[in-house]
Amino acid sequence: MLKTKELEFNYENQMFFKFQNIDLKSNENLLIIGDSGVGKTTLMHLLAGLLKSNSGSIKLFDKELNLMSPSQLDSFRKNNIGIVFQRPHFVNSLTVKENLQLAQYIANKKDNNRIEDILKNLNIFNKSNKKTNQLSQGEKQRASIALAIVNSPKLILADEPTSSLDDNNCAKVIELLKKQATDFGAQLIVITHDSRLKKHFKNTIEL
Amino acid sequence: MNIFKLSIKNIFNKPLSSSISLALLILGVGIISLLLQLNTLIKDQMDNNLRGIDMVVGAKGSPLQLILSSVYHIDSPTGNISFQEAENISKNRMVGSSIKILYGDNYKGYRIVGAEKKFIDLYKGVIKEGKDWEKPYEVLVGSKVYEKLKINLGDELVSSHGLRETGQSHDEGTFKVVGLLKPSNSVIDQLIITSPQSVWNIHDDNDHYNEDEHEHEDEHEHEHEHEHDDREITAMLIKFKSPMNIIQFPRQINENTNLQAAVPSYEISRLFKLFGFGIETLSYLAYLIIIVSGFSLFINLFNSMRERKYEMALIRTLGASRLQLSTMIIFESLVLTISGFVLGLLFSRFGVMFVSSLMEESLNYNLNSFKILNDEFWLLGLSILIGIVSSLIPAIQVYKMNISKILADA
Repeated sequence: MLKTKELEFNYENQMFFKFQNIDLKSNENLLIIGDSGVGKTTLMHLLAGLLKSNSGSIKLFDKELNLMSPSQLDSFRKNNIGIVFQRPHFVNSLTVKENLQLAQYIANKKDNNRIEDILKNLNIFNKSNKKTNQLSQGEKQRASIALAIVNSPKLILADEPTSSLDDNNCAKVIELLKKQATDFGAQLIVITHDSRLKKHFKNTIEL
Repeated sequence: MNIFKLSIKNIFNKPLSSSISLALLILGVGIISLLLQLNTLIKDQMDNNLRGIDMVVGAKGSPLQLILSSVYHIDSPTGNISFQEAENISKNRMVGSSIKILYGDNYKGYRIVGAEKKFIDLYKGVIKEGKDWEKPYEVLVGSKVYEKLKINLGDELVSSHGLRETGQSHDEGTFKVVGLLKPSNSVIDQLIITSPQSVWNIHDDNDHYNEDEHEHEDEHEHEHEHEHDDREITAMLIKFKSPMNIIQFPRQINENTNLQAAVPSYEISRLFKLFGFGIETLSYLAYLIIIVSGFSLFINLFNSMRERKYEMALIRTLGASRLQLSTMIIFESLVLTISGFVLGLLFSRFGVMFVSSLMEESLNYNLNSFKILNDEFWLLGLSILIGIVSSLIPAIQVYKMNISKILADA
């Protein structure tokens, strides 16, 4: 499903990253773990098509990302990838539900039932009509998961989803992510420095 | 949900900064549109009352005053002239038609004009109820007068001397309302019109307390000889046979007689030039306000773009294209400027209503029109231009935004 080869990226300020090859089969989740400064965020952005590598190849769902134009990447992303950020981001002028509707609009979809299902599944259905800045930290995290999965992506990329959480909540969130991925038929790749997560994944890559 | 709705939600999410730009734009557009409206309305009203009058003859004095008093009925007359002299001029071969008018009295501030019947035809006045006057002391009442003062057919009006309400009242000056005029959107709406004879009678009676009503034995102290010579009129409205006469004839009168001839169209354009300067200054100020509103809009968008860079990046990672995001920024700006334009027009209409009510109180004039002027479409164009220009730089920055970098900094 995901195959990377000889992936390299260098920033203009001379920072250079060379990533080990990844080969992930369908129906498997993956944990990518590494210390600060080894290029975790860079790798995630490469996988999400937000950055383009200088050399090497990324094959995602049999498509070569490095051969796509920026607009093809936009469209590939909205159809295949959901991203959970380290810090949840929302459109602040919109309610939780409207944020999800916006995501659907961008992907040319409209399905209020799915929004309802997802919010119920994540236990924040009663917050549907709240502005996102009125949510608690935990609710924000769950709402950002909802935003990542609303368009039924085949791949969920999560960037440091647990770094600011205590052990108890850390376990809860990662199980929640795994459950959402299974419930909605997506694969999950988590990128983190948080070694507590190792025990939750069969496949682990250390950068 | 779509990009347009999102723009509107974004505007309402920041009511304070949005409303400052909006208020400036409303003020700028409002002032310009108000000036345009007032200018056009006053000009229309003035032109409307000018039709069929090429020249006015009256007593010596300010020509503008003569025009304002005898064409627009808003200033005091320059004085009276002798009936006989006016009659002589009206017989000149260059004169197509002439109407003699005379003032004397008012009823509760509305002028009572003695005039030949042609006067009503000049303004296309039509009797709505009742009939024309036949005898002296019978009057036709203009639409605004009977609406305001609730005058009905058959009422008796006791007039006061002079043109102001405070004048001494004539005990004998009781007029009978025999007809009500339809609204004609001209000066006769605010006049009470009667035969010249009525006005002469009243003042004769007043001067010679014991004299008979109809006989003009007229034993004035100064003039014993002539029978009709002492009759006076206030002014005479003249239409020429040929428009060419407008150059020559007024000069002849001004040079060769002790009367004054004034050309309304010339005096009015002089008047407009006079206060046109003020209007121009004020409209420059208003354009400046519009430009400032553009700057405020730009700063507004620029700041909010920086505040919202994470949410822009988020929208991009959700798959929105660069163009969609830039469009959103331009939409936000356009929604503000177009609503600023619409509210500005509304503001100017309220302004017109306000000015009109002021003018009606002091001058018995009213202006009301809600049609959109061509120049106002031009203002719409300007508002849209301001909206696009002030959002251009923010929109380009959003277009060139590096989402990966923004997200990595988070």
